[in-house]
Amino acid sequence: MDEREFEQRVARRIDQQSRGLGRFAPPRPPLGALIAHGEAPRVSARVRTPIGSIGLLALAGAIVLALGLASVNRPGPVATGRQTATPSASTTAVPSTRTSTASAVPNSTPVTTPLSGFKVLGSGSVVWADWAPDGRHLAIVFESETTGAASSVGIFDRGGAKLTTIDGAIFAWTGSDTYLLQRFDLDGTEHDSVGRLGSATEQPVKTGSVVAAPQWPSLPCVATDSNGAYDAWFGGKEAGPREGHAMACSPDLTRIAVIVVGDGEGTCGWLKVVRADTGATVREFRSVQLCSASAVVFSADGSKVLVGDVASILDVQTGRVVVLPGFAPYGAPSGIWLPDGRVAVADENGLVQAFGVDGVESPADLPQGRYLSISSTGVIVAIQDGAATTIEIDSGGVRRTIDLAVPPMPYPAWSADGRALVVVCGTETSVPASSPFDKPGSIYGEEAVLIEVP
Amino acid sequence: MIVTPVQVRGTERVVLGVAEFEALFVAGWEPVFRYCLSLTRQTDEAEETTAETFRRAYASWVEGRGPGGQPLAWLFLIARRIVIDRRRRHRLIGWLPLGSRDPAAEDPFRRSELWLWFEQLCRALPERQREVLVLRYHFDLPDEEIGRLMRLSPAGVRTLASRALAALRRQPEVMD
Repeated sequence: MDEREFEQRVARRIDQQSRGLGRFAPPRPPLGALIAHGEAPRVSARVRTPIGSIGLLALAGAIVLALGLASVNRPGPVATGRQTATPSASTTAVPSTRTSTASAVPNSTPVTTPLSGFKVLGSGSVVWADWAPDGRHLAIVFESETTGAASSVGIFDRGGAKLTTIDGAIFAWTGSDTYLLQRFDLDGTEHDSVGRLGSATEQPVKTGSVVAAPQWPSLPCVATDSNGAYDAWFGGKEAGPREGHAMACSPDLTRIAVIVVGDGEGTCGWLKVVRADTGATVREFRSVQLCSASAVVFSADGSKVLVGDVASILDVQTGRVVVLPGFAPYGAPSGIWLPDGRVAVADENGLVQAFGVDGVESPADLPQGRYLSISSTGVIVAIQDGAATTIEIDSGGVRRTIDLAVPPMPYPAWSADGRALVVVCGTETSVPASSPFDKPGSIYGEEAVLIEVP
Repeated sequence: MIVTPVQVRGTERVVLGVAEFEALFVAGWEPVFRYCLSLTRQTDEAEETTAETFRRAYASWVEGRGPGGQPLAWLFLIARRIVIDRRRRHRLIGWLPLGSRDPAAEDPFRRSELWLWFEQLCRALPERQREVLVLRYHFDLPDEEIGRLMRLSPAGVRTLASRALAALRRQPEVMD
């Protein structure tokens, strides 16, 4: 068979087999329905996977809100209530049917002043942003908008000035000026290297499929991979891989909260707390089934873990589980530990309530929003998404708000000193309230807002 | 909300209405799915990618950024970006369903003879070579379009195709 004949044979075979793929095609949905959804509707009946990709890593052309903070003493509009973003087609948030029995304290609602003064740092689809451990540098990963082209990492100084650009798709700080970088070939082959800011050379490293988990700013010491294993990093040294999805490190970095995958039908996973250095199990909570996991946060002393999705406080010392009342299953997308030892948990509609470690709700004036974050200095940020973003910042009872005409991403990144915050917002799609962490990983935001907290 | 888009081609403003997009949607749904399935080899993933492709395509369409060349190639380009995005993100996220059961195992495609053949092809050829063959011999895209899609020169496309053919000649059983 000559070359021409062989090519024709290949062409026929490829064509025939590829046509066969069409028989697996799902029914075409109505165009209007597809467009109306912020996310693509599924036509075929499929059991939804328990945890889809936590693809809420959007970010992009970075807008910096630089020092344009309204003075707290300046008269400003008095907030008569949280400005609620208009729900978009893909944001199905509805007025909460839950009522807070104690958290709402109308008489003490603080005066809220708006923040303004945005500065655009760059443009492009932003994947992620995070601060170097010392807070002196900020890394923003920009996804290439060109197929196959490399993504890039913009390194900015504290004030938002761009210092340099590094080619790479995934970036994780390993020190104040050192980083782990991952690049991908078109076929997905990955190349890992470590580098230092200011140095033109990088050192290739063979870390297998180890990938930093920058989407969780609370994971300074853990890298995880896509096969359900993770590595712990100490001073640039790697310990692992170990089984499980690493979710959080204790503040003193001695413990790691890991979700272990179940092994039976109907079983999703459960939380295990291990020693960071050895991987030895400290406590397992097999009774707490986790089919989704977004907010897993250690208390300041590492003795308890708040798990937002199941609205539970897990006591590592005793194994006791306290379920917070009033939350629907997986209806608590985020939670934080408050400086006074209580927890604040947001429900899927953005109602934030405070609870003691005993699970009893207690009064608190808290910013309202579906995504909560707290700095090392106790500044609380609540982000409410929808067609727009409302960011409420509470700094010692002084409340400020930022309204953006774009939906937010749920992973605000604080600088180490708690004085600067980066919030990524996006316009491409908003986050559906019903499944906040089950979005394809192809969403990008278009604004990174750097907020200096006075 | 569906609006009437306007596309600017050079100095000419071409109104691209919903009807035109709907026609593209109707004609392109299955080919885009087939292309996605050839890339992802998972029907769920292919379906999601196909739907997302048309959603993004429509968003571009209404902003006046419709296809510059063949509409199908334009859709493929969007789909391809999504597939690559998802691969990257899955690695980045490192977060897959917690259930130990492999959802892909339930995929009807996985249980088909077609799957076995594609598996064989996958073992014989690298992904890019497979993709070139599918785009060339199944979708009949010219090398220029394939090159635009895969960020290769037309000569690069031909080289890739010829390497694929050479590899298959060494493994003729794949074509049986």
